[in-house]
Amino acid sequence: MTTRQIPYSTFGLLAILIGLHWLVPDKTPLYFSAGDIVRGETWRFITGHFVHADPQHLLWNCLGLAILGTLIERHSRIALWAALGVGIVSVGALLLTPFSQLEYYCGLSGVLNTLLLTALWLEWTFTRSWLIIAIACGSFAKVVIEVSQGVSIVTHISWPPYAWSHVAGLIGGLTVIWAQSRIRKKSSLTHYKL
Amino acid sequence: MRTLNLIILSLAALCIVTLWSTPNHAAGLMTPTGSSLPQLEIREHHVDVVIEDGYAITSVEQVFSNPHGTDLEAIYSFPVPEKAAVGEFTYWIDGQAVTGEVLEKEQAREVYEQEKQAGRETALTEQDSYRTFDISVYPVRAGQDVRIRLTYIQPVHVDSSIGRYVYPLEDGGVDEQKLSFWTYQEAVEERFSFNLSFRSSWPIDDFRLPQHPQAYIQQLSDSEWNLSLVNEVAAAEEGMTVGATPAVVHRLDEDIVVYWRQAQGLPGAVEMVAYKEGASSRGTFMMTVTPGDDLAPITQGRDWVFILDFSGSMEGKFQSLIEGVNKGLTQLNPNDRFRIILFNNQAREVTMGFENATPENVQHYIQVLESNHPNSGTNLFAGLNLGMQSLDADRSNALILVTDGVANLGYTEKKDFLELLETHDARLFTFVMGNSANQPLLESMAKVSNGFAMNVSNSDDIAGKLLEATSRLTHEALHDVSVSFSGVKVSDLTPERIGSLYRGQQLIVLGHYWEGGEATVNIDGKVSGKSRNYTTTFEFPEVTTLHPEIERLWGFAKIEDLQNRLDYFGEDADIEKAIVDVAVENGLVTDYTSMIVLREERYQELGINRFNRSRVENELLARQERAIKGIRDNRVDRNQPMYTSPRASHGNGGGAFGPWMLLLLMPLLIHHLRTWNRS
Repeated sequence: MTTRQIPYSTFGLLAILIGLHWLVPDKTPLYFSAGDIVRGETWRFITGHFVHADPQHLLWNCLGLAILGTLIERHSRIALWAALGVGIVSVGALLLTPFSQLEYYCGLSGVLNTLLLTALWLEWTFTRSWLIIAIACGSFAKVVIEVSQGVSIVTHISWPPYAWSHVAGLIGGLTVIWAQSRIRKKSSLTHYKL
Repeated sequence: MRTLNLIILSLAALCIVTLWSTPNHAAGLMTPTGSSLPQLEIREHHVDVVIEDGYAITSVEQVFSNPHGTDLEAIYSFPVPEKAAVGEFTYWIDGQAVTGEVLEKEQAREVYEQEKQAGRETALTEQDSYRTFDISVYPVRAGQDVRIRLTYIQPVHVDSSIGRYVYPLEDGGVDEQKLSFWTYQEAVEERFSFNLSFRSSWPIDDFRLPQHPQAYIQQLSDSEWNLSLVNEVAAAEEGMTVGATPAVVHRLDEDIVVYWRQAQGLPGAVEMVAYKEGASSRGTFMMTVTPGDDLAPITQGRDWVFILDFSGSMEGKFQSLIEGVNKGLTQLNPNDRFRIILFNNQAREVTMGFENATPENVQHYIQVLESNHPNSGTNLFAGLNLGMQSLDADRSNALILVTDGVANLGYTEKKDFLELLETHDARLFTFVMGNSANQPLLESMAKVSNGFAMNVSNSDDIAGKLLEATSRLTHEALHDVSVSFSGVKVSDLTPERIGSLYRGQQLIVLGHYWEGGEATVNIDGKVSGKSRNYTTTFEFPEVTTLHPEIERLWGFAKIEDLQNRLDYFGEDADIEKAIVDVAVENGLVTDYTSMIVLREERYQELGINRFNRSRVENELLARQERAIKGIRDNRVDRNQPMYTSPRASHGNGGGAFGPWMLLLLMPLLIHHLRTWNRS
């Protein structure tokens, strides 16, 4: 069911994040910008999540990715990439709507919320521990406070916090869980029929 | 709009990259180069800043030390802070603090020399145009210290919900004669501290010192913050364990830039603070207008004229400049057009008129730029004049001027520049690098053309300045702005000419009034040729004594207007007299007036009135009263809001996972590892 594996994908993603931050002096063409994406700069849909406003922003998101990426990848590398893709689409979709009203967005934290729910789900299916439920509740509570107060809890980065990207990330995570449970159900039915 | 963004972003980035490659000069004690005079020491340097009610009060207290065997004179020089009204200068004589008085510049210098000759204690603060404030103190006795304090006031601007305060220390190094004549001693030998106390009725989300991450930032409430930056010696004495730096702030060669970010979604608003001693006395007010975000984005293309400083002071920076231009040009839309002008002793066009922004053209002209080497003087007028030629009246034009210096060849008078700009329909956007460029000239030029001037410090946050420039240039602006009052008699409004308001910019108007009562305020302007009006009604107080500093701020703004007139019309004895009168009445150091400190009995002997001492005492009392009373809400349009939309913000965002989430993840990780190992 699970395989013990070195999280190469997580290492690779971390290298991309750090490399983009330190090797690209002008990250403006990489930020997520709805207007520019519509005008044809489609790469921003993806790159916007991988560039960061300042070292502190990068540090926290790298630590989050290191933990969550490793957790998921130890279960399944495909799950990591699937969650990453769904997170990017989910957060990107929100940012493309007029609701966001942002000119620029950057950072992986929205997508990390997708990874968070995915990791929690995988751990839950594996252990059925109530600790997972407690952590999920704490995570939801954090996002609710951030959205209602418009602040970023305990973190100060040079760009204003945009907590709705975390909500979009969580929705992405719920989508991953729903899809995974559908696949499992289907595979168990197939197994039963066989 | 994308093109516009990228050009501005590239140029602003260029300014900063260029600044980084420039050798730093600093504030410090000056000694003539090559002289046998021994150097004095800066033993202590303490900066206390209070930002509240729309203005900042900065007090700089210093101790100079003479470790040598003879009495010496201390001359300390530092860059002129933006819009700073120097109103208090104190010198400790025989352990007593003695406050200075303002006299005409020549008279003050004469008295200083006279006192110095007589061996009596004296000190003098003078302004060297837009470049520096120079403080002379005599004597610094052999083996002893002297203590001085300088206080200045400046309005605080918030742009797109981001406030910015700069304590300038870095000299731009454009005054080569001065730099070659003097050597600078900028090290603080013992205690350095920078403390900032911030109070506002608007909630603040965050504070940031981009070049001083070691600063200790303390949030007392949503709207009250304290910042502290100290070296080890000062930290030990204050019992602090955080925020102390052993060496970073020891040298006075780096600006301290502080940003604060207002909470999102605050309304556009009108605030007012006033000072009126009694019902029959004249009142002074400062009205700060923070417009709502109601200016639409610009969508049509433009013609771009890059006017680039190619003088000797750009040596070592020019390659960075070319890279910045390259970056900007490669982002242009094919239907955009560009010209490139270089200027040093004279100006010449690199392009052959407007060129379409094709990749081939861009590559070609970048190669041409690379074949040039900066040298000689700065004929800014010639560059600007050439840039103004051949503009297409049917297309929207924007002139981008990037310079780090001063006009020193050809036409150098401000009026010549202003006349040139008035005769052409083009917006000029100036990117002013460092503290020593001729900011008054560049700002006036930008204003007259309905553009804007942007000052960039070496310590500025790149992303912040980029967003500020982009936000302004990608939206329509309110042009030909005028302010009128009815219901209450107001006069002496300043600025005399407001010009344009770009997205996110605040409007600060100062003036006098005689009787309290309800006034209706109208702000009129034009957006894309269509008239727009904003109005509100509020009360002018009959008596209010909490903000006496407003009088100095009005005085400073009035002098700026008078100086502009003087620059425009040339030498005029009446205007010069008016500047001196306003400066003396309000106790301000200007190009025409200086502040002198003498032994207390000498003021009387020389017949110098102690007006400024009374003013300073009054201001100190008001400051104490304000501290006791706590935070005030100065918004006056609450009952009838002038704007219906919230104020502008940069509209960018991000989110960090943060320590809170990591705390939650740690048990998950531990749980995972334990169950995994068991399995």
